[in-house]
Amino acid sequence: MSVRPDVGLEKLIHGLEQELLAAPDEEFVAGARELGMNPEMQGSAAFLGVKNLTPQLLMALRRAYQQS
Amino acid sequence: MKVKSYLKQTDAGELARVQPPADRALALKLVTDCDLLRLKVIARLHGRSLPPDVSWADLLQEAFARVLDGSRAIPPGVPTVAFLAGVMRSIKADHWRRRRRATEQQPALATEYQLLAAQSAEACGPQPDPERWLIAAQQLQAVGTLFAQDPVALQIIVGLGDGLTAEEIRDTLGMTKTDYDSARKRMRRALIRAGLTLGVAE
Repeated sequence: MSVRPDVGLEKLIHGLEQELLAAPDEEFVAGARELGMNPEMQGSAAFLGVKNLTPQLLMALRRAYQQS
Repeated sequence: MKVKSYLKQTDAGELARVQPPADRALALKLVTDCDLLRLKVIARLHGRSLPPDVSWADLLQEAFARVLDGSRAIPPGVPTVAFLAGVMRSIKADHWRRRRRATEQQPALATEYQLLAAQSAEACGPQPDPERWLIAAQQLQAVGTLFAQDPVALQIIVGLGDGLTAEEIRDTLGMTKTDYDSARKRMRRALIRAGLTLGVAE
């Protein structure tokens, strides 16, 4: 790469982001399935960090694990 | 179990009442489940260049929150997912701007780094802080590792990092459109796996 790392990384992320935006839905579902997840199932691990997880709950869990 | 007892001490009712912005967006049919998977992968990709005190999940929830509270309105005709990706990019840039301002107030810490940066920086705006430089170098290496078994993908990665378009990369590498599209599909598969995997992605 002929640019400094931070600039190169941002350009790379932008290029890869465009790829992901253009990808068909099926590729994401297939990707989850390959990892043994079923995105159609309620509470699927595929949505960890996105659905059903409040920042407050996440913070409470972090604190709890730090204390344990 | 300690975690359970801690959560009991915390106001569990209070926690239950707070609905994450992504859930609200889903309830409002602003996005679909599949959009959420796509956004998770994109957020984790952006997470590679976030300051250490911000997580990809924070970035994604914050982007949803800004759209839902109306501080970022989706322009007509712009797909929601693409817009949210743009909001994430903008939030990330804000974080780094704030950190840069903080670093500029500590010039002694940056002296050695600035000597190195001045030698290699191009005319592309202000210099990053040393931490950003280091994170970027490590993450470029990590992305390289992700595609280590795919030399064609690695060449495309270098082209994207240099800011080349798909056409320019194809021309530079002398690839047919079919070969290029096939490499892109392999790359997307690796990115999606890394973005949906549990724990820390490579």
